[in-house]
Amino acid sequence: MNDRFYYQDQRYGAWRRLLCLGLSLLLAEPMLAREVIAIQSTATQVRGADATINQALPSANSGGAATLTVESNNGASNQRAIVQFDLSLLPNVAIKQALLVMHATASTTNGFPRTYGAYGLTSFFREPDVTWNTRVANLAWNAAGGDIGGTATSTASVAGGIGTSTPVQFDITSDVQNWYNGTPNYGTLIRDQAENSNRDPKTTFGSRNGTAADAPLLDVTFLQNVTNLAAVPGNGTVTVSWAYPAPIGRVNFAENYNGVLILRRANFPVDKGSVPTDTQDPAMCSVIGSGTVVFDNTSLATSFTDDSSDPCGAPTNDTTWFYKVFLRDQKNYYSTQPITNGSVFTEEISGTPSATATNRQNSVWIAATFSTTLAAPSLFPGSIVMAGSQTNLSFGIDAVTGLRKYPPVSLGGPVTGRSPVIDAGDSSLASNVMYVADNDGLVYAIATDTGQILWTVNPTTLTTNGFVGAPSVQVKSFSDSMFTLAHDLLVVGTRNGASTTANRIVGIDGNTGATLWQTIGNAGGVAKMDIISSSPAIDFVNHAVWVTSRSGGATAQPSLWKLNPNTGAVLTTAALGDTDTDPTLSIPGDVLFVANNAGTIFAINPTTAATLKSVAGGDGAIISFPIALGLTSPYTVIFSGQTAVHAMTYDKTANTFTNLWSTTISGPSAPIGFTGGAKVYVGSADGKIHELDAVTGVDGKQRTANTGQPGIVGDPALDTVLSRIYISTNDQRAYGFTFPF
Amino acid sequence: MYTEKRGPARRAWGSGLLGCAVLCLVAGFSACQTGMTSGSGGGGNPPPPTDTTISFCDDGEGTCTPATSFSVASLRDLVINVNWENLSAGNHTQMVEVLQPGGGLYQASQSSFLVSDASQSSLTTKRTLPVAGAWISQRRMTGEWSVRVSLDGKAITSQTVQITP
Repeated sequence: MNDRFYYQDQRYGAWRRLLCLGLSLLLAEPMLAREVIAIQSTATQVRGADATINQALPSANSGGAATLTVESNNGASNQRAIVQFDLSLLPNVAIKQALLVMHATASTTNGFPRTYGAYGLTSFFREPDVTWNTRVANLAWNAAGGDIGGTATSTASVAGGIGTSTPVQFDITSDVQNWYNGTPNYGTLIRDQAENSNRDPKTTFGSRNGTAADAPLLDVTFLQNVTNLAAVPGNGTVTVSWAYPAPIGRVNFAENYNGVLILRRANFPVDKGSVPTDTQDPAMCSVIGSGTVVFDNTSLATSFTDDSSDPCGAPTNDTTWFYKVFLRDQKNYYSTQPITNGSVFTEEISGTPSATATNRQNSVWIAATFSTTLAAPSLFPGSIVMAGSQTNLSFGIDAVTGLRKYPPVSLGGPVTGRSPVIDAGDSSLASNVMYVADNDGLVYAIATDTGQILWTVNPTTLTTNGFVGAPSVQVKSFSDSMFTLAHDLLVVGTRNGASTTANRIVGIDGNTGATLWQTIGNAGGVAKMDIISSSPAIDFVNHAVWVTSRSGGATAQPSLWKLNPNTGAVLTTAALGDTDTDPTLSIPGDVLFVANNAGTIFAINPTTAATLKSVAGGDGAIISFPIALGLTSPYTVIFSGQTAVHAMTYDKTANTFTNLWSTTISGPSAPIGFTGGAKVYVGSADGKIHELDAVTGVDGKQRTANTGQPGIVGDPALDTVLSRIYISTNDQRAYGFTFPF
Repeated sequence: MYTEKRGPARRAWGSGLLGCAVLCLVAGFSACQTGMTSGSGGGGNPPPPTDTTISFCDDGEGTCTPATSFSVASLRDLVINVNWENLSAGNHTQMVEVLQPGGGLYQASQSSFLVSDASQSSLTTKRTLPVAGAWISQRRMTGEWSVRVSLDGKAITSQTVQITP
């Protein structure tokens, strides 16, 4: 048990409160579910926050203060309290109830009693930055005083004349459920429901930085998900197995986990809205939404073999079957929650039975991402998979189990690039870190072990400069003495769609988030710069950063930029036409490969940026990036066009491209492979991952993520430690499979 | 399911309050003196706006001329304008959900704004969806897209837009 968190019984040590609570429980109906935990904020919880924002001091930040204040004052001096809980203990749960308890330590007397409201905040903020006017960096709230809806999630009455610690409770169940349903957790704002009073009623609450017992507390009732979910296909059978989680919180009397309910669906994952109703036990073979009840167990079974004895119909061979496994308790509460704004994350798995052993396949895990994501997941091989989302979230997924390492990290905007991760042993921050840039222009450093946001910046200080591509990192420990900056350097390009000339490339200090330099198009002697949708290539050999951009539809405007990483100075440019793909360096750094939107592949001299050779791919715009395999020339260059995956060699000495093979793939993603590997992997618009022979291009085997509609598979990522391949899709999920297939 | 679920929760809490209140009467414990009422809603929901429209344009064109169909080859940003009329004064939360062809959620965006008085009851919000260089153009996600808008938790309207090959 983490000592930063306390059970409610321990928290309320006063005998009178226990007596009060005991009598309440005697009179109350049974609790809702099995586990309850009280999470009390402390200053050391890395994902918690609280602060007071003060209308009279609209630029003052009070993060770190020992108290929080709510005040109603007609002298433009209202005060509001903001609270954000660290829910790290509860990464894989379904919320049944969440009660926010604020501890009032003092209140004035005039104008009381007051009604206070708890509101879910709808914009990202940071405790060190937040004020009445601003929320993070230099970004203002849409409405001064905090971005909230018109209706409080919950209200509570507060008495005047409080002199000792007194709990004030708000039921914020729906907000917390939404945080687990794909809505970012931006915390809760507490305000007086009748502000601008001429009697100046004011209440002081404990904060996470003051007296520990008076800190805000969240009392959560929940069910966990099953663990170790796996599927093993056979001939006309799929065996699904799982384990039961150890309790996290206090176990309620007579509320034990006692089994699972499993829904099944062919070809598609069970729809997000297809969930059993709490307190009801559906009949076998009954249909719940898009799923059929194929297993209804209340005796702690740990596996289920779906075969010809299944009264609902055996799983037919060569069809992919999806299973959604709901953990249940003795009163038939399930590991799910209401669908108000997105998917749910109840554990899922898939298997494809077949008469032929080699045709059998299964996912090793499926994880919810809540929105379309087609970027390759980032990963620490063997440990953690990081996936961004377009619901302003970043997920840390256990590479082995597919369970969340921690609740998703809430960010300010959608994340669409493949965010780089740097190991603690290499990072100048000396921690496992991921750098994220979002569509709304913010850049973040996130500790991947905990989900803690280490810093957030708006590097261009503007709101028009969003980021679609991810940053790239010049890791100082990998660099020679020509790299003179003190820490790792992030480089990222803006995508301001309204401008074809004034986009910019930004250099950011990896330790502090400080903007070190900006290279701004059409300013200071820099050529016009169109939108940048790609991630830069860091050239450790030639001491440069390479960035691709569009060219304003013109032939003369640069679309390849070579910068000095120390200063951002433009070293040279090339006009290759509109280019949305990432540039790719050969492993020795002697050739740069660039693929433009017209489908032309360029071999570039990385010293001069001159084109050595170009060749028409002949298959429309290239997807995401080409890959270049081989330790020496000739290199194998593999790329996806609109209808196929193509491979060619580039011989630097002869300066020639030679076609190797082309394999038709429906709507391919970028390919992925590695030097010396026998296979190349590519996602497809047919819902599958295709395994191609690296030498011949033969499409030998596939793995099915989701053949339904939608079923677009994004760029894959390979984990060579676990021999697993990870992909995200447009069906709001990420998948893991083993490779080779 | 949610409504059904909250019933017993409230009853349980209500019984708890009753127990606490009984004890307070007997012993006068200060811990029970504060009105620990909790409930959903903070003064009732404001009336919904009477007219809401969604329009689309391309930010890449100098002037934002509304249209209902765009070519993926030339569209840079799909600008989603939501025009609210007759909004009640106070804080509001808008949710814009962009649904891809086939209906799956592509992107969701939540934002809040303040209508200070009736004279500001008309308001237009703008959300920009990157297209050029993003997945929509790279993976040719063409077809009928739709945008669904809700206000303060209530679905208000939706509008389709074609992104053509």
